[in-house]
Amino acid sequence: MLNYIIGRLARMIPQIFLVSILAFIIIQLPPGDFLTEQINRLRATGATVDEAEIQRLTNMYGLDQPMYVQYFRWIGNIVTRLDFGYSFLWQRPVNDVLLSRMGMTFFIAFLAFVVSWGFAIPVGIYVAVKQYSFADYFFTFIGFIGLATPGFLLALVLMYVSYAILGIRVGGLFSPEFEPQPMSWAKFMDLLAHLWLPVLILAIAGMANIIRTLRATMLDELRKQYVTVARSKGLSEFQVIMQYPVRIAINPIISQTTYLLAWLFSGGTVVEIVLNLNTAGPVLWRALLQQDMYTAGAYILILGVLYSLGSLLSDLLLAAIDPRIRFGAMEAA
Amino acid sequence: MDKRKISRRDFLKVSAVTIVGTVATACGVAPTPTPATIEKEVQVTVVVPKGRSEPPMLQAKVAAGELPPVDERLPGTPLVVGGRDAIGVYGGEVRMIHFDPVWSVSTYDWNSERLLHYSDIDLRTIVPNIFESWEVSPDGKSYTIKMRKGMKFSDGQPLTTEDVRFYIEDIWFNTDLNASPMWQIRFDGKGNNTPATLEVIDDFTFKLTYVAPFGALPAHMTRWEPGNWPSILGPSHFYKQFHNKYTDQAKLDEMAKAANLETWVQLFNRHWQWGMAVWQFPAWQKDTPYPVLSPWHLIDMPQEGLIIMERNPYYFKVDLEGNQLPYLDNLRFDYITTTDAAKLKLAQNELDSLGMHDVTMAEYPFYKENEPAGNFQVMDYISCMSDRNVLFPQHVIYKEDGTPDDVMTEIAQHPNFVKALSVAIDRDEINQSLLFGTARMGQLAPLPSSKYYKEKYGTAWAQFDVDLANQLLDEMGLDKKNAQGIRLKKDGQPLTYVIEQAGLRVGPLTPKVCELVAAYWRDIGIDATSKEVTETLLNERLNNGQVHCTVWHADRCTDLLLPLEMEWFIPTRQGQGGASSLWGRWFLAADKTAEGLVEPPDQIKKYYDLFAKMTSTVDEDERVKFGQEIFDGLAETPLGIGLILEGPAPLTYNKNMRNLPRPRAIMGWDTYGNSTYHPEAYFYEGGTRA
Repeated sequence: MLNYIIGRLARMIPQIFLVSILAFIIIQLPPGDFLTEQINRLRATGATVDEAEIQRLTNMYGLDQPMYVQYFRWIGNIVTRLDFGYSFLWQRPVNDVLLSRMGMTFFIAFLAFVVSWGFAIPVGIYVAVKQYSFADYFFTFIGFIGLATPGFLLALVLMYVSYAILGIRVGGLFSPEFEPQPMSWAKFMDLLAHLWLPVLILAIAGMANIIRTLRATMLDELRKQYVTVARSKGLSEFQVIMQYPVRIAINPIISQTTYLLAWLFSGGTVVEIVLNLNTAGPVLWRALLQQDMYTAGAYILILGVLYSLGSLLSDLLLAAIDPRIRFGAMEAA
Repeated sequence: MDKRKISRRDFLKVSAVTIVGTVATACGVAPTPTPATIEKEVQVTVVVPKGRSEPPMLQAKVAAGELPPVDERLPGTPLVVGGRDAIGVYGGEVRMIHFDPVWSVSTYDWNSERLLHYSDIDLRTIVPNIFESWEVSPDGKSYTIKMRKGMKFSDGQPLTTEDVRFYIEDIWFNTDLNASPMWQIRFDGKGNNTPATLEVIDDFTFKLTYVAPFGALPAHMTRWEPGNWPSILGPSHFYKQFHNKYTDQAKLDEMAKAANLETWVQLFNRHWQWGMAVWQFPAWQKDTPYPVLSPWHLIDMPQEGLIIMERNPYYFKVDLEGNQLPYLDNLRFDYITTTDAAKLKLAQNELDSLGMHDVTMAEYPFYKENEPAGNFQVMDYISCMSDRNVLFPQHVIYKEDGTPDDVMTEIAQHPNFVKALSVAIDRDEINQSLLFGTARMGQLAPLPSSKYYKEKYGTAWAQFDVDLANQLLDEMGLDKKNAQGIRLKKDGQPLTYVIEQAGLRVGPLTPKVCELVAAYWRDIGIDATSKEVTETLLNERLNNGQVHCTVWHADRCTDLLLPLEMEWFIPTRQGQGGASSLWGRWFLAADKTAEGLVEPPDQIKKYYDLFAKMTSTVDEDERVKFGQEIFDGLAETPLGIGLILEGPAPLTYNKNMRNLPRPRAIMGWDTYGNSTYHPEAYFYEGGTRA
């Protein structure tokens, strides 16, 4: 098992290296760079910036060096001192920009994860057991709505409903009066009053997928003979279902943890923008629009690493849960 | 005295409302009520109350001795802002929004303090502001400028000619910090390569001398803020701590290293930001306050993007009763992600001022619908910004492979072509369908209230006449059509024509306007389409000549800015809009023989000459005459295609806010939003917002 983990980790290194190159290429792809953006803005205010000055600034920011030099400088700082560079747009180190938002981003996504899994897994099992019942149709209906409606639209609709019909203030994470204050109990309660909306939206989007997957695999398993055997041995229906088919049917859900880490980080981007939350999503979006290359690069790189870690995590979880995989992997190793 | 010098006396003649006079201030001495007589038509008695009242917000600090009393904070000759609806009351916070984390353009709307100012009554007369007075020599070459004695930055440090000298000598003409200083201090009427001579006469007087007459200089100064690009003044005591001439190199290296930077130049630049620091709120401002002269100064950024400003205790303006301005205590700018979030905030009564960058006629019904129940009032102003979409057919066209497209260039430069495109557009339909019929449609021209305006500029080639359009195109040899009814070019290919536009970046209406316009052009046998690209790509393609036609919003259409920046009318710039970025590049190039430059035709060069004369002449009437010569030419042969001559700008304010600009005031980039209208004198009736 240890060998398996080490081998798996070793494979991640070239993977992440490739991701970092890819991230760097992606941020270089659009025409121009941050400096051109800034000069455009400057020109828009009526300033005439001539070629000589542009050249001086290009030199100063090192943007005239060949791409591979820029790349190695960038990745070198990240590897040696976890320094993701400087955000031209926010005028501060990328680390600060992302770190200050990371907590809230993960918090929201984690709550959404708990809500969606906590709700979806029991429901998925239930609707499989009670196939074609009213509950099955009801949750299928809800699930398909969640699956078919993009998060941002759901956000807009819910915002409208809660503002226009329920008369609740929406948007943002805090009420304006609390925003400048340090964290306090009152501020925390205010946060909770704002948080339910993004959490609900993100949870609904994830829920449908899990309900449908679980329902399908459960239905496959329920018809198998070992279930009948278990039942014939006189186990209670609850025991039959939880100890046998569920343990197998849960595998596809566990393998979704590959995406989970990355999703915790970025799953809510569009919803966060629509809801005007001060989290990491809108930062990435701005960074890409304004060609704030180091912020965008850090973001893409972190996402890549989280995917790699996520797939490692899901492999390990599967191995832990499912002996077939565990032994298969050990034989292969 | 030269007759062309604008004296205070002239100013008072035109402006019966904004009164700029001298109020006796007593520095340390209790003042006796002084009837300050102001010349001519305006007779206002300014009674300075005994011991000027202290703004309540500052009383505790003054009592505790942390702040000197108001008399000591004001300059000897504070600027008096009169002509408002009422003397205000102190207090209150104004909540606003901005869309950009650092370069917060929304803050200029309220907080731009310029070296000189335009009267907000006629928007034509230049009046004193940070500079107390200026005098131009008869030949128009040298300016003697007086600053206010005892005026201070927001940190209490005095403002003197050292702040001018440092800015010019140690920033602009330091070759490490600037490869090429702003042209306004090396203006010579030719290639602009002769530095102006600065002579510091005393702590409060200096003289700038040019080798050629530079009549437009005071007008330029109405655009300059301390520390901005361009400007000639900034807080030198602040900058010096990052400058290697004033701070030990070893210490600078250490500071640079601590900030993760490599050189002192980078360190300096970060704090000067190519002069944009005034609208920029990078993280360092939290620990290192940036001294300003504007009504409010930044005091906190509790979280990123959230900007809190407080009254500048050293602000140099007072009201007619001698009370120190501003009336409003705080400004607060929330960073939001989308325009929809702005609407939501407005509807939830969370905004007290929705400025130029945030309003559009497209949302007018939404504002009006929510106005009765909301805490805001919707104003009836005239826009010199976003909604003024103008189509700019490019006049020099290259193919995608980078070779000149002679066939298209010949078509684009034919005088009939732009005319035909223009008269093919049904402007009334655009007005009815997109602007609820509220705009006055017309050609690209100065605003009708401008002294440059003539009726024919607004109407030339702005009628809707499809037959005329077809006739004009037929006449220029585009009379053969293919089976689909598309006109054929000389090379036998159908005439395809793409409007490339930067979408919402230009204005909320832009994508819709372009769709409509493309449809009108298809009706006259041009295979026109509209395509949205990002601004950076658009600029790159404009500079390569690969764009057929683009759209930008035409600000710079009032007397405040039009004489200084003519780029929407004649091609003097690269990127965004204008008749041709390639001609603009030629115009801006220092070396006209450089490779790759495209020389414009004589007619365009004639416009450049007239523009140069506008810059140099000291005589305002002459300047207008030169300008009108340009507009006469453009009315004859248009370069751009305007749609809206005069459109509304429905700004919103809190219902309690008073001393606001009057109805039909011009609002936009030209006025720096509210800033021209003295927001330091706005106040909440009752001292709090609704």
